[in-house]
Amino acid sequence: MDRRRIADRVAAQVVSLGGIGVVLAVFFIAFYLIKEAAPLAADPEYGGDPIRIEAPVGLVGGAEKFTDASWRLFEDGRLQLHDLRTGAQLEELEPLGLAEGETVILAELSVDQAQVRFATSAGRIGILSLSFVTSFEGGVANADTRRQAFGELSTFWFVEEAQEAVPVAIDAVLGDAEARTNAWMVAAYADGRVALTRGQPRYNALEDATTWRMRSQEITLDAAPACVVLFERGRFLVTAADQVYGYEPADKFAELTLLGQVAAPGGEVRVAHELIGRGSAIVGTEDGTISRWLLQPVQEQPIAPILLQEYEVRVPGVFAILPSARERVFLARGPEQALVGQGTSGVSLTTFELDADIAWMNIAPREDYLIFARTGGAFEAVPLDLGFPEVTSSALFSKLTYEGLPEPAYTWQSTGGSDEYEPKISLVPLIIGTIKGTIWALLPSIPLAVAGALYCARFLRGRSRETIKPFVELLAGIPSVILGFVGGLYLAPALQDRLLALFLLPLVLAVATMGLGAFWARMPLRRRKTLHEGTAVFALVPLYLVLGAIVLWLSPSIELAIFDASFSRWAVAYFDIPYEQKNAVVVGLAMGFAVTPLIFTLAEDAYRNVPQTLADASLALGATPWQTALRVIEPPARPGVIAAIMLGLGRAVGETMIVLMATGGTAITDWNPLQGFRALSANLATELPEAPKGDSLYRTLFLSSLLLFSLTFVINTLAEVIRVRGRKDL
Amino acid sequence: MTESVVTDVPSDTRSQPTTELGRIAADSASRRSKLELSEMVIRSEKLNFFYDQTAQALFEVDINVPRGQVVAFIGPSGCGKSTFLRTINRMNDTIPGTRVEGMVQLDDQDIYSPDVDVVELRRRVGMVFQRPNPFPMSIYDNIAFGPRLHTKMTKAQTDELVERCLRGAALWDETHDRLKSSALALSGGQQQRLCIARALANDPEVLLLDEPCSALDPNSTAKIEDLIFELRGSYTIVIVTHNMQQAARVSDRTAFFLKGKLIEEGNTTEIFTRPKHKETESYITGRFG
Repeated sequence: MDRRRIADRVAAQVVSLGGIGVVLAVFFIAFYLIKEAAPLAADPEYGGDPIRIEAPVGLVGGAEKFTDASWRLFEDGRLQLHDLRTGAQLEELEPLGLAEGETVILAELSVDQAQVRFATSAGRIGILSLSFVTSFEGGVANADTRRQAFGELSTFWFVEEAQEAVPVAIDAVLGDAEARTNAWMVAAYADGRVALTRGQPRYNALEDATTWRMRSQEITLDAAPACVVLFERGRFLVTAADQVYGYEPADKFAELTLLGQVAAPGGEVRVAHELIGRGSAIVGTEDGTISRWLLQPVQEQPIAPILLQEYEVRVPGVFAILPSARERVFLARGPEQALVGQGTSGVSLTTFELDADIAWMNIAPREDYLIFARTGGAFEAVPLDLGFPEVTSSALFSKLTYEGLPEPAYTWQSTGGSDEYEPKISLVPLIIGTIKGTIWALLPSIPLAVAGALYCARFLRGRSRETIKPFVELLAGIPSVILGFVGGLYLAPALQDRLLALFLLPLVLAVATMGLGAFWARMPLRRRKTLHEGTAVFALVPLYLVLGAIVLWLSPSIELAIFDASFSRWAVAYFDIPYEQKNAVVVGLAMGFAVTPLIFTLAEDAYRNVPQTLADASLALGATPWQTALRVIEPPARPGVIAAIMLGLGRAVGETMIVLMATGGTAITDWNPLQGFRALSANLATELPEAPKGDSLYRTLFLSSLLLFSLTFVINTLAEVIRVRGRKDL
Repeated sequence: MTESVVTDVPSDTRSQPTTELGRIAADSASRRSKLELSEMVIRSEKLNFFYDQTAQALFEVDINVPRGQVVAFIGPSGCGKSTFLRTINRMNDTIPGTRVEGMVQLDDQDIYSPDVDVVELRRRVGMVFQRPNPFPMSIYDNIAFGPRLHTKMTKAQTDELVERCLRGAALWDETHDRLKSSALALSGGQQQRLCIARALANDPEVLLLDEPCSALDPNSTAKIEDLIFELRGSYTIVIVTHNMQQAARVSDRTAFFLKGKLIEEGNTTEIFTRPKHKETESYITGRFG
């Protein structure tokens, strides 16, 4: 083989290798995005080798967060701690200090599993706070040397004196002396009484001690109450038979006001429990219907109990609600099975089959185990994988009523101030933001770029044509971060001051252009010859500059004279539309600098590629240049122009820095161009660096990036298909 | 092409210079009906044409084209024959920087006067180009393109016009069953006849053919020549050609251009048998070109 043939072959191989490499890279990226997002779809499951020890079961109990040890509270007030690896008893205490013969009759674990609220046979009610101390044997810190012991245990009494009546249901929450928040307790009694107790912290600086001032109010229901759930600020739900009542303390705690009364679906209420954050409650009724409730104002109604949704799956004989300590997920436990339900989106995730001999169970604090206490005196921790229960399709794409928000909304607000924050992960506002940004970028760009391309390719001649194109292409090379900050820091405030000019400029310039055109047509042919067709357009440039300057100079005076000094403020007041300084129009203008040159240069190629012979034929048939352009040049170039627009669309959809820097970044679902938005791309840029790797936000962001990837991939592929199809026809 | 035509002509046959071409011309002329040399449709006087300040392409061209006849422009490449052709429908206007001096008249009207409507001029003067250039649309829409620019027509009128033009261009039989299919699917010769039909649709007085057969095979060329024969009389036809046999076969009159000057113009048979100028004789005998 001679050298030329070898070189030929090598070149061919290198080129095809490069091509295959690109395709592989695209596939790899898609694969990677799918791989990171795929676990979102997994169902919760449990099983595998349990940790099992023999130990007495008690009334209530659990495991500390490492699941090294299990604790249980007994009827007689004893608290035991057992090592889960050896089965040995580590400690036994009596933290409640019960009187002789007094027993615990009611004990319930708080959502964070750090407290037990309880009532005794003497009618006393309190909260036992648990804490654990972790130490390491032999000074080596690893899982094997880790040892657990009880830390400080304290009891906060709401009702310290013995009473005659014994509550049938209680709910209580501790106050915080430092933050000066109140402690609250609500207790229901068999005779229909429901008592709300408030503990107010009183700090005594001399003694450096806090005393709690207790006050109570009570009401009496017609029927015997069954369950109580405390919400914020002493508001609570109480159920009696199939009715759910909402109450709040009013008039400086002088009385309790009924907020509303709603019938629960499925008959008599059997069980009710708060979810993390005390923003919503899960209620289970006689026929196994599980429902989620809020106690908040919705859709301009006053605060009232709201039945938000019923879960699709029923749990016959439901008798316990076991919430997760980490997120809005719960187990609704019946005798044979438990529903795993999700709070925010109201989705029934899956059902767990349960053994018959379970005394009590709960989800371990870290959601990594299911803790079972078996009636035979055994204690088990079975590995649990909940997956990413908060990311459901309805959480991503449906309008939801969130805790504390006045009405159902598409909301993206992935993180909040505390661990109890309800993540709002609707992708809808981001998708709307992306579409909105794209529309406002393309709206001015498409006509400008396409008409400019047609003019440049078919009307301009000689040198001016050869000069303009590279200059426009130079524009395309401006880094988008520069466009972004110029848009955000200069354009946005400038536009607010001269919003009127934005409306006036296109109008004035269009009129001026047409006026000049009419004037030009009236000019004698000999005059026109001096400025040849095609170069005459440059006469517009000084006209535009002068008119632009005049409009910009005059617009403040006009605003002052007609629009109360500020057109933007006037428009806001007059049309009742909110105005945001960094809005979609700013983005449209800034992104125009990125998108217009791209569309222009590709469309110009498409128009120029139409053979001159066709134009000649048309002109020779007596068509005017415009008729030629529109009837002969445009149709064969159309696929190419559409492809150019599609590529511009792809660019606008994926554009990040401009939409990040030139918008306020609020994830709203509002098409108003004078408000900002948050696009998928900008959202990724903001949140992905801060999302903990592997958690649900991280994977949700990967899902949104997969969406963005597919969107641009489809658009670009479509553009290419259209372009290739069109080329065949020419 | 020119060379191949005349290679068998001996270089020293000055007394009988163009036996072959002369015979063809005389033969063709005998088969044509006689036309009255009544009025001149196109008349140019002292026509100078400049592509820019320095490049002059035509020098003082005076020529008259009589109505209904076929006039062939011959001459070597770059002699200005196409340039002159394109001044007749002002297609040279589309080239930036060109300038015209002198006068070209169509029906006694100066076509370069300021009050001439170029659109109307080009409707009256149809043109067919060197390479077939049908629009990428259906055969039907190609034909209807010109008339639709100028008038509003009903469907029936358009149908009628399309048929008439296709028949006029001897293309109806081949295309009547696929009028709605793309014109690009036609063969080269058919495409060129379509271009002629398209030009006819405007009902022009003059038809300019700029080397219409240079991209076609002999068979298609023959059909175009037959068509020119058919159209003669109804239209005044000016054809630029490099093929002197073609000029001899199809034209009533022939004009010979050289270096931007019109050297000789006259009856085709005369030109090819008894050229008055030495340059003409040299060219048609293949001494240069």
